Amino acid sequence: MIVGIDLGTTNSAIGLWGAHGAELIPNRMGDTLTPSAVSISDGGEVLVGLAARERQSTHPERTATAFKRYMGTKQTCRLGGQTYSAEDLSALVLRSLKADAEAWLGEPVEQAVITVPAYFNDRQRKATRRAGELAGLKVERLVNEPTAAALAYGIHQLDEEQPFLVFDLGGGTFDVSIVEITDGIIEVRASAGDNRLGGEDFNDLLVQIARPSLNLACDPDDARAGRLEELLRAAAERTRRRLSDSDRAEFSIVWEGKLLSTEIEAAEFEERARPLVDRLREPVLRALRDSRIRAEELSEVLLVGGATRMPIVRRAVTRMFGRFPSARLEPERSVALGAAVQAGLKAKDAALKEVRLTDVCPFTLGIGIVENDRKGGTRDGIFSPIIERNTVLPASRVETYWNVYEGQRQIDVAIYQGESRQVTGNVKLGEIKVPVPAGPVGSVTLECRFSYDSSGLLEVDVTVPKTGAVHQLVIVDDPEAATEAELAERRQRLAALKFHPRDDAPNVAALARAERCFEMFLGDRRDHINHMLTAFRNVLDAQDPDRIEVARAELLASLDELEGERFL
Amino acid sequence: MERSVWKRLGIAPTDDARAIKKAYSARLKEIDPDSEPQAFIALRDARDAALAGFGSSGPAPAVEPVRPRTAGITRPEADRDVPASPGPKPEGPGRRPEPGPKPRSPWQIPSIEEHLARISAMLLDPGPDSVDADRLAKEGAALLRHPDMGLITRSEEVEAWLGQVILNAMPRSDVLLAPVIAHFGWVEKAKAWNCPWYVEAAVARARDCRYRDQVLRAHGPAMRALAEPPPPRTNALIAWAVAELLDEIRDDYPGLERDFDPATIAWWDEAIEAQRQRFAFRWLQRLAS
Repeated sequence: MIVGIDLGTTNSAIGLWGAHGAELIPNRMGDTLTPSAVSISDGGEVLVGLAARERQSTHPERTATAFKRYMGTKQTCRLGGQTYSAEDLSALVLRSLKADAEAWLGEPVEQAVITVPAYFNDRQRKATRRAGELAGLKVERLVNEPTAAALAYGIHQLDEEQPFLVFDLGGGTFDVSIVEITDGIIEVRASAGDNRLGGEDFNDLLVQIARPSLNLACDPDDARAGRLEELLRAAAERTRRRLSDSDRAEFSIVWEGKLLSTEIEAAEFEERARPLVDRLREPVLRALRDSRIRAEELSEVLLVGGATRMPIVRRAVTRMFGRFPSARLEPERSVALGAAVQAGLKAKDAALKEVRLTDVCPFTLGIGIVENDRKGGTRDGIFSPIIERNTVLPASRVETYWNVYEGQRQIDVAIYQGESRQVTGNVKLGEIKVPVPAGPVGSVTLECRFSYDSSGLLEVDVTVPKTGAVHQLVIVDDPEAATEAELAERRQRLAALKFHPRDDAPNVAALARAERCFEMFLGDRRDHINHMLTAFRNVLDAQDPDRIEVARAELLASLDELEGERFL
Repeated sequence: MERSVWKRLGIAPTDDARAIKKAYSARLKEIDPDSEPQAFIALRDARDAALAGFGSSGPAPAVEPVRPRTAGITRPEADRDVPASPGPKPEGPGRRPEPGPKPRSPWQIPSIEEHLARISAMLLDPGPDSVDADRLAKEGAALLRHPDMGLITRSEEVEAWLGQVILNAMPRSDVLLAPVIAHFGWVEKAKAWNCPWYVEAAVARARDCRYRDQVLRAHGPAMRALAEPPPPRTNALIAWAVAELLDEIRDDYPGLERDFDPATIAWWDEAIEAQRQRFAFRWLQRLAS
């Protein structure tokens, strides 16, 4: 069974292609969205999802969220005495999703299609693949999120030649793709994005706006600073959601037993958010330019990603295109639904036979060269593109280069990815040192072939026509890349981690939420929550499943009343 | 070659883009791009060649020669001397309105075209008077603030148009450089390997202008000496200052040399050379004595 997984910054979801088309699988809580959060309980057990998210403000030193932003980097975080990379944490989320799917399907799940932002580079894609492998999933294919969203909208069922623009603003990343459909062929014409722009940036901004009027005195070196940051972030998320429907919203936290609160006006938020909103334009422009499609020719603009619920974002999109975008599907779930469609395509489901999908390479790949300048000297480190941005994949391209000085015995071919003229502004993926016969300048040539496939695998073949020697590059994209043995060890380490029992997850989440609320409120309400918590703990100790269910529902209903509905 | 393109697509030669795409779709469904990348690449190349009209002369060569790369900025002289045409411009903006301004009600804002026409008139047909920098700056600011500039396609057309006009009207367009560069984020764009030529030129020109203004503030006499007609005679001090400035301009800001009258530059080069020779002669004299 192949499943489709949306591994998001804020939330993740898992789905499959079933008898009635794409459907999402509910998790242990009964939700189709699982927060991408990992927390280690005091007993050393792993909690994933809502329970972990609820513990974010009460146990920040044991909880990690938004780790997708550090995918493919060496940044690690310590949770409960152990070090985890973003890859490890993603693997834990994937493992939890896999367990949910297996419980729901009653059969093992071994293969998956996982979505990644179109703008993820080679390193980030490899890290995502490894996360899947660490979770015990064979990653059949990585699909770009906008492509998946387009699939969810069913554009593969259209016959007409129609270009769509997918505008995907998630928790941490922003992607724009132009997708065209002709006779059952879905073609991604161009992708562009900003992998450091998302809903979290708007939350940070709200914290910046609110902080001065909260009169918080907390030294950044203070041990409690981390906890305060989490409280502020959670408060910002709530405020941002309320600002979506009203002109003003309260921003409040409880810190050191005092309620600190301020009111934020939508108008002020929008004014201050303008620089963030302005950053939405450039990727849209680049995608349109690369695909040579004018904004008027687009048949629809599809909104994807939770952050597109913000009115300020919707207005910005409307202004850019001079018309209203469509949001028929829930923006948080369309990527996972599309991943499920892709899983069906991969499994060659009969209902989907007629569809073919072609994707593009969202960045330029090339090598560093030496260039003559006009003063007769040479300049090193100039980028020479071989596969240009938004080339259809799989692609294979050859460029010819020659030696720089007479008697050169070795040519260093350094592979880069990026758009900058200077290689220093690009990401280095690897290097190959090619021995060449000595000869006058320009007499020794190299043929450099790049082959790049739709899963983001790059092969470099360098041929020296004079000697007939062929060098194939095994890209060491990361000097400290994990070896097979290390991977096996990490897999073991993760497998040894004990997950909290699945059935108990709703109770843990309810307890974590009640504890968070206990710290959020003061006075009578705090006493009330304390009372409910004790009662609920007593019921849990009695271990009667029916009574636990009733008590949990009561607890959650009271909490809903106190703080408004819970959100994912 | 010609045959293979159409054979691969399985259709007779045609220039109907829709038919080519339909044929491509049909062929694509017969292969699996993931497991047969070579077949896919061949089909894709055939489609691109057919669509690009290369079908009659065979597909584009698979092995491209190394593209010559020219470094540094060499602005074609022709561009500077023919200011009447703003060069290739996108359709839409840039079209002149009917002569004579139409009467308008005060609350109606001028269209983008009207702004473009006025900027174009000021920059490209300045007439006997030199450009009124204040008016030009105001017009530019009004254009960038225009509500229609929110539309992404519109904004891009204007960006390309402004880029061409600014390039062709240098140095008259200097006053527009800073706001336009900031508005469209050209400093960042200039770092890209495929950035448009006018972006690179505008950013380089802005850098030249900043240097010029800075020199004018810090040690103005040398810069002013270059900007004015040659004096009847000069003294050693100012000649050395001019020599130093010219060296720096030629090394680091070569575009700036065009701002000055070539005759003046030649006069100073001569004066500096004479000064150097005098100095060398005196030095030798002192050495001899």
